[in-house]
Amino acid sequence: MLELTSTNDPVCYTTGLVPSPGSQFIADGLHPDIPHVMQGVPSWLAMCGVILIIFTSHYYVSARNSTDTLRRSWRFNLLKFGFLNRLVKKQWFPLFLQSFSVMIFILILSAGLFGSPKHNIGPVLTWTWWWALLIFLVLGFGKAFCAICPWEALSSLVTSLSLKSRMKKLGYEQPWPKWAKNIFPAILFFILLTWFELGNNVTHSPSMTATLGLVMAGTAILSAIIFERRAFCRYACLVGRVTGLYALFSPVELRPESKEVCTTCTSKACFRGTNEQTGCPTLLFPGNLKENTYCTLCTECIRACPHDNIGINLRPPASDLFNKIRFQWDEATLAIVLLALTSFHGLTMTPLWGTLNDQLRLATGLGPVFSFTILMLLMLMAPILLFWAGASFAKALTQDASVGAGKIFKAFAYSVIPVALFYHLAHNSMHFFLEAPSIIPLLSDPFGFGWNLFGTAGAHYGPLLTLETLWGIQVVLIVIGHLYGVLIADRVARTLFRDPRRILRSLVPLLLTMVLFSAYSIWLIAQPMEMRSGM
Amino acid sequence: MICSFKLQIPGLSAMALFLFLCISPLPAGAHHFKGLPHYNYFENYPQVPEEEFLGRTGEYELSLVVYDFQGINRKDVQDPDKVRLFLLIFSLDSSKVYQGPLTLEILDRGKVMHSARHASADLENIYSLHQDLPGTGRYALRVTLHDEQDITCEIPFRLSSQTIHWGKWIGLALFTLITVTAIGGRKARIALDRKEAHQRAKTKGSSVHA
Repeated sequence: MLELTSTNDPVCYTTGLVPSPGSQFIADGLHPDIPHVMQGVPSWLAMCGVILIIFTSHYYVSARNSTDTLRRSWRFNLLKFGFLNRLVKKQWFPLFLQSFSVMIFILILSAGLFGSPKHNIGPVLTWTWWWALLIFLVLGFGKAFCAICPWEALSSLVTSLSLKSRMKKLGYEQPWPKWAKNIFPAILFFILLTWFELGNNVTHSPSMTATLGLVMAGTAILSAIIFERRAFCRYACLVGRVTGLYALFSPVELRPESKEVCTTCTSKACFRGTNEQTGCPTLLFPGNLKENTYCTLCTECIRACPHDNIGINLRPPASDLFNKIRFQWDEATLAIVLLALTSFHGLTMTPLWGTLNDQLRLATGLGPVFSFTILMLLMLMAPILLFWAGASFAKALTQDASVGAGKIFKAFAYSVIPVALFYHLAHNSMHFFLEAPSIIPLLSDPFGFGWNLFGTAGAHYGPLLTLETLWGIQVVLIVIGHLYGVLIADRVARTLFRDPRRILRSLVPLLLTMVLFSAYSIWLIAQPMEMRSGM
Repeated sequence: MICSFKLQIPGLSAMALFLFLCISPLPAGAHHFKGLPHYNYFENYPQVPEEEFLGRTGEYELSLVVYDFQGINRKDVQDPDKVRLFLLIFSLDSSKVYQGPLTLEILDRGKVMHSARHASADLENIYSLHQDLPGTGRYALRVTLHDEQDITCEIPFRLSSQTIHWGKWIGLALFTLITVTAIGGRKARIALDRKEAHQRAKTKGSSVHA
């Protein structure tokens, strides 16, 4: 990490970043009025990325093995380590993990509600650290955030009235409404949050950031009191659902060791609970768990299982996606919405977005909120319509009466998950590696009261990586995401069709759509970016 | 048939490449920064003024940023009544910032409290005004652009003490709601437990009797 001691360079002064040879930041040239814009990936590198995406897609389709079949891949149970096994089985284990995140959450709330609106650790901790690292956490450890979720911890504390046990001592135990037993509520919350966040600059406001956290906590606690178990986590938590879909890719899973043991088990304590354990909070039967999506890694089932038959496994990445045979509309919609919203977030940071907004307002006389909303809806609908067009084209090419365009859309949407995930990682890499050190001075004065607890207040630090390194990482991430997308699309095609010709025909339009998505991702990171947001 | 599809793929891929080539050199023009400097960015990351008021007249969009020292650590501020106004005028038509002559007037319920004429923008395309405004409440800034024709626009703005955060009220409301719901939930749970215990005892009794 580089420390910026003194500089008279106005660009460095406004960005707080240290320039390296090669003119990384735009002082002037693109637009004289933009004082703080980060240059995007150079054209040659972006072009290399796009060419790599196109040729690897083409090469894979040409060279693929038409008789490839599903194989069970390797697993390694981490609970074979005695220390970890004993630790997970302690009653206080979940709250022990959650206590750290609860403390950080309380710090964010206190700083946001009582601290200075200017010098405040809340937004940096929330949007530059938590939101950026959340996606990295999913990539490495799946639903680990749910295991340490502060909102769930507070819900547990309130409903169990205990620091140790999660057994509910209060609650109406109402069933979650049948019409809402899907993840569409979470999708709606996700869209609303994005609108609210970008339309109201929540990422810049300590008080709004804290209030948003409060509202999330309040909703989670009230839901835990009113509804059975943790229905909110399963159906309505946008963070849980976004990470849940990405966790299909993760190399960590919670699964039964032997399905026979679970089949013959009469107690089903992992689901029903015991006198000390609640049973699965998200209403799953862990004995038959096949995917990561709805598991919160709360480890209740591990402690409840009388046969010691639940493990936390390491596995190859994207195992759930490769083995997917059941496709759902709500999850498929979220996959496309995720791609749309993550790229939309990137788009709003480019100069083009401002021009689009201005031109729309000039042409229509609309206010800024309306024009933002209209453009956001358009950007949300565009990938959905494009993917639907691809699915319709695939339907026309395959001419299989049993597989309609809707089914093709629903199934192939899962292949977009790695594309969305790796673009999200590429985007968040930029924020984290460039802006994360800004927390160091704030640690000394988190509330902006003029403290200097660790002697770092007022110091300024450079980015963790140079822009050249970051550009390389971003392009490589997007290419990796695309390659995984192609592999998963091939697997999905084999699940839908048996005839090799139909498999290939279904792949052509959808791979082209995915190439467009990935090329768009590369184009986005090639744009100059305004460094104002944490997502 | 398979062969024919393989032959189509490079064509389609070339289309995607062509599309990318078409969109990649789009000019990176002005966007919503519009010349607005990031105040205090050096000191902290999320530096955007708390109070921003927008106005619109013809092709011009006016952005008024208000730094009100009445509520931000008032006790530590040397001039707590000092209010700083920063005005940026942006032409949506030409995507340029207006830098010509203008007159700024601060109005309190229609009465002119302060008036100043600027020959040009004084700092980074921005017109600034410093004024003592001790009272909280609603004010307006009247801007008259002395361009080819005198264009006038009024931007209402408010000064609030900021000592009361609405976030705190939301927090308090949520706390109350949770407490009330939790008390109800506890009663519901006790009733449910009693009902279940009663049913268990009844089942046990009937089996013993049998």
